[in-house]
Amino acid sequence: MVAAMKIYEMSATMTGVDKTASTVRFKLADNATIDSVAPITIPTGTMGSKRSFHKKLRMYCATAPSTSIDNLQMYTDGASGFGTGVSVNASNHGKTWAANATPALAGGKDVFGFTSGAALNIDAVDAAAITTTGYGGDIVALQMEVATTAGPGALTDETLTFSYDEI
Amino acid sequence: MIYNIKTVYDWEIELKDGSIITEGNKFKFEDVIRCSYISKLPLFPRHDIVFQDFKLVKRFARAFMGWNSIVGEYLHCCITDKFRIYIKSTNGSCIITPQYYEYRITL
Repeated sequence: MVAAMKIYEMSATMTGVDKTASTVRFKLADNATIDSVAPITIPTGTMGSKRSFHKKLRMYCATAPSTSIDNLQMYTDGASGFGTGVSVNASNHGKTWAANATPALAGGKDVFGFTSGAALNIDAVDAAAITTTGYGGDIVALQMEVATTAGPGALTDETLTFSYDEI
Repeated sequence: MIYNIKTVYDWEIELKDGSIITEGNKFKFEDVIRCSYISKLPLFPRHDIVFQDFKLVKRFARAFMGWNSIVGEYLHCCITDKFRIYIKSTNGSCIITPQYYEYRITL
């Protein structure tokens, strides 16, 4: 049987929310709701930058594969469409969920530095091949940072690509 | 009829004793004489890999999805000891690469 993998957003609790046909919004609140509430404010003067709550994403196997799934990767097209003063960092958070917060993401690197040729390995910690339903692979942690040079308004959508190999 | 991109192509492997494998990998790779990818869509070609001077190393499929969980491409891959063949489920085309080339698509 062909497997069905989904992306879950783990905000507020480690239970996670199925993001099928949805998206992820960075905000100053710890929830997975797509709305315009709690936007990231643009800092002024010497305030430095403003960071969103962390976003944690993880792959979830909804239908088990006939054999196994492995080689989980995450990457971007390498070009940020967010504009001046807006950056997003990403890191492999391992397999143990921790509460989301706004301090700088530990080990975070520019998400647009992860490309098809240099992807973020997301089965480095939870390295076992996926053979049953449930969460599998590592948690991807993301955080948006807005600098004083950013402009107001909603940003253009960006896409992360998740890939996996299925036998 | 609308097809699931992950099931546009069926695959089958023929062993030298004539048996046909359509699931899993519990067979002797050295016994494989043919690996076929058969499209359910009439416009997409069938791909047959006949093993003569090379051997099967691994067979898998690689899925690519956005954070909306929608699979945008589903590549079937047949790795041999000489080269790889990737088959795209979105248009039926195939790409032959060196044995260790990891082909990835950005959505």
